[in-house]
Amino acid sequence: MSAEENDLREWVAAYLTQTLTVDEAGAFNQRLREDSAARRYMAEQCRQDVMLRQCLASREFKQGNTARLVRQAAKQKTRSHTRQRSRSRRQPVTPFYAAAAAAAAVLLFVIYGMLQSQPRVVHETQTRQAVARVERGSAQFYSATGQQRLLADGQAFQNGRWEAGSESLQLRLQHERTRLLLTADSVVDMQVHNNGSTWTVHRGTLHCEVAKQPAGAEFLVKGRLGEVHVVGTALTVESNAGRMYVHVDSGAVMVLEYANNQQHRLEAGASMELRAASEQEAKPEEEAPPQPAPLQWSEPVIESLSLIDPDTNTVVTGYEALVEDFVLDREKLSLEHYNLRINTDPRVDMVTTEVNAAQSKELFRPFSLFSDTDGDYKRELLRPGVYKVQVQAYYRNQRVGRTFTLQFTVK
Amino acid sequence: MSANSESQLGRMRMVQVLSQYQVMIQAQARSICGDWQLAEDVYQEIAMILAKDPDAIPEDDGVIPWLREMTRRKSLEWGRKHRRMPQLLDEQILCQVADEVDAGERGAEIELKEQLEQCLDKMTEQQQDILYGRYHEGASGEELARRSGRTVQAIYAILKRARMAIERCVQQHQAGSHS
Repeated sequence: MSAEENDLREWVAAYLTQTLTVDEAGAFNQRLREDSAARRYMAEQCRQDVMLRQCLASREFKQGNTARLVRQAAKQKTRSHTRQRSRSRRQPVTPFYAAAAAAAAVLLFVIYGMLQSQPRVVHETQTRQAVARVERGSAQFYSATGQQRLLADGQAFQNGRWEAGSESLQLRLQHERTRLLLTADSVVDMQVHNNGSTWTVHRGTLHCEVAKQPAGAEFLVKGRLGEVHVVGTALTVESNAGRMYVHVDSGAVMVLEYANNQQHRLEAGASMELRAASEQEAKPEEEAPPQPAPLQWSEPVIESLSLIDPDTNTVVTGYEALVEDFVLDREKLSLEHYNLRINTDPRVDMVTTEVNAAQSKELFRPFSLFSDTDGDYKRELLRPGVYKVQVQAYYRNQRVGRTFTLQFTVK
Repeated sequence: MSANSESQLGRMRMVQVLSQYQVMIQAQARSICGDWQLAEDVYQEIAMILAKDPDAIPEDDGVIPWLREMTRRKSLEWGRKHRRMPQLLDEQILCQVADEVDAGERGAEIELKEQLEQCLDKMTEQQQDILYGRYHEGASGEELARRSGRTVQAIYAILKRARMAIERCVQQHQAGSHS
């Protein structure tokens, strides 16, 4: 193997294991820039890395593995305790230290008591099981004592009810790989206990990727019309008045239908719909969550278009809000390229555009007429002509507001 | 067709697309983000976008470019917002690397998986432990060091050597199967 090949292998492995140094990065950057084969090699290694992860996930040496690591850690701890004990023999405990230790214990007890009376916004190390962390989005969280908090990115919480806002919410159970996605406006109760966890979907859709549960533990998702027993799988549960829908992406689950007390086994790819024989048969909800007020859209949803200089990604002064029949004079503007930013109501999550009948869709902010990558606007050549623009805003796949139309001329 | 069966069809298509292109999406995100956790977040984010609007998934040939573009954007976005360590490589170059990630065929994936399984079997117990903790449990270098009683530097050195050993082993398998 040549030295060049060896360097490349080292750098790629270092990048993937996050051990690349600043010195290595300079040479690696250069190599990737100039050598398309190096880029292909790295792409292949990234792909191999994904497969490696899948292989490791499917292997069954987890228990032995953890046990080994625990044994090793225990050995280390024993060594350190032995050292501490030998030191403590030489230093007898004085009355001052004893009093300080007692005061610390009392203080800890008081803090513990205070924490018990608060909604449990906690650090992940505080408890092993009953903690879920918000990965993305925010939620209103209600503790068992009725206190309310807004939990956002990175915050963790214990048992209680949480209500997703106008956006979806991503959660992860601490200390295991279970991930949950709660769609907008859904309401779910979380109860994590020694034997696993129970999630009650009061309204909306809960998508779960459930890590393999420890022996004796169970992951249970309840809806109004039934419950789903999970041991380690990916599934979606949608529960609303009179209807419950279960779809299994991988693994298998057991569904208990309350209406007839029947159990159904669902394998990967299978779906099942549970319906109440009548509305009366549906399990009454213990605490009906309040229905959110419908969002009020005030016109105009699309506010204006702004002229962007794509070389600097800034708005051209004097062209912040373009008006009907405006003229872009290439001589006056001293621009070769341009783009147009679409300014909308902040709730808009998609726009469709049409420029002289050429259609396009923008899913990510900032929305622009000729596309962009995270605010790095594409450079559209200023070609003379008349341009007819139509922009339509959407919120959760529903058209909102009137279609915005504008005509402009480039000369 | 009723709205209900249309929504079920959309859902099925979403699941199909996500499972078929999972490796491609994660590999692209991995190359741009350089961090496993972020790459997984990007995949989850894309899954969320698809779940929100399964009807937006293009048909046939349009799917791969659409997913590639979305993965690129989301990886850049998540990397910039949530990266814990500075990105030492040029983002533009990393995007070029991501463009080289193959969409892959099922047969080739199964073959590579078998080779990886065999190579993993050849690893020492220590290497397997560290790889498992890092790749499957998502443990940090500090966490692995704490668990195993080693230094963080030692953990990263083991990880890097193990990763290179696997790569060499897979290459040998591939050379053997082609000869």
